[in-house]
Amino acid sequence: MDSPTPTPVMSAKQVLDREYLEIRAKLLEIAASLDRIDRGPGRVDEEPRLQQFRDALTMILNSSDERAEQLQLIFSRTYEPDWRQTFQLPSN
Amino acid sequence: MYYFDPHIHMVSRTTDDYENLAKMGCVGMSEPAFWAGFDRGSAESFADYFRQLTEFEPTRASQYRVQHYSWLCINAKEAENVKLSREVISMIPEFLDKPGVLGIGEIGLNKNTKNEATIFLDHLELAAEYQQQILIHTPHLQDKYQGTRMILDMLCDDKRLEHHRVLVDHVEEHTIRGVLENGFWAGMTLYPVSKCTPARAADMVERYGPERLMVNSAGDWGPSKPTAVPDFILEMRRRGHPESLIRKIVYENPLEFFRQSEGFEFTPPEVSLPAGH
Repeated sequence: MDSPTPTPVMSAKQVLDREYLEIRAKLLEIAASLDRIDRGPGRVDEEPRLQQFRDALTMILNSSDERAEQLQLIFSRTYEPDWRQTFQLPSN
Repeated sequence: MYYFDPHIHMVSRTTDDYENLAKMGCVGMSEPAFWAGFDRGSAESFADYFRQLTEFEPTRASQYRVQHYSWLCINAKEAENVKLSREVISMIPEFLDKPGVLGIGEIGLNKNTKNEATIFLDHLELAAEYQQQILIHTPHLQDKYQGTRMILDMLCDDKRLEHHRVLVDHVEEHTIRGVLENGFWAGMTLYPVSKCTPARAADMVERYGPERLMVNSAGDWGPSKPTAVPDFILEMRRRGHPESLIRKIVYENPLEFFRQSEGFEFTPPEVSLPAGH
């Protein structure tokens, strides 16, 4: 028989207490990294990777569920269902 | 707590790592064939590698009472060379009856190319012909979602395959659902940079439950941590999850999956083994 999906045992407050400094540190690293890019000689405004960062940060601010999954998809290549035809590979 | 690392590349590790793993509770491990960091030039190189996997590593592991098992294939990266891949695949059957060989793996995709998919399908043929279990590598980073979907397409198209005898590894938040919903086993690989952290793996356990789910360290030649499974155990304990749940994921689930393979003979750690076994 399947085991039930385990309920998270830490309350929201306990998670926040445990991870507050860690989240703060991660946000600080992101801010400092973006400052470092800006300070470097040259321009990268048109870089698609920077747009991915903007999309990810916007999603994190505006979404209330499955943020990790959504962020993964922002950084993923698109799946094409007809890929086997493109490759001329047989499908059963 | 005893645990089993279902995916670790010990050919890349030192004997000190075996000792540390044993001290931390590792009693068994399975090692899929993979890319060695450089492309090998001939099928003979793979024959030597398969002997290392099936003869040398089990002996080295046994010095620390760790039971070592292996999977054989040509990995997704070198599968780009179709001619070499087919030479290697034709050689695999002579190794399948070696002690501790569990099946075909880790097969998969790397950059999701036509050649990689062609050789993946050749491996499925081999597994079906010899009724072998399968361990699958899914691509990393931007290629993971696309590649995992392609792999699931090929697996689900082959009606000969029993889904409960296939382990799809390196799942993350955006790929785990499709793997589990199609009846496959899923492995979460704990890795310092890409793949998954112990905390995110614990999140996925809370989200999807423990059925058909495992964690592993990969422990390969790149930046990796062979003792990552104990990190996951600690994270689960810190969150207050029961020992029975943790044990299911790190010990009972791997045994349940591997017992489907004829090559799996496991002596529980509660039973004493003769020295050097």
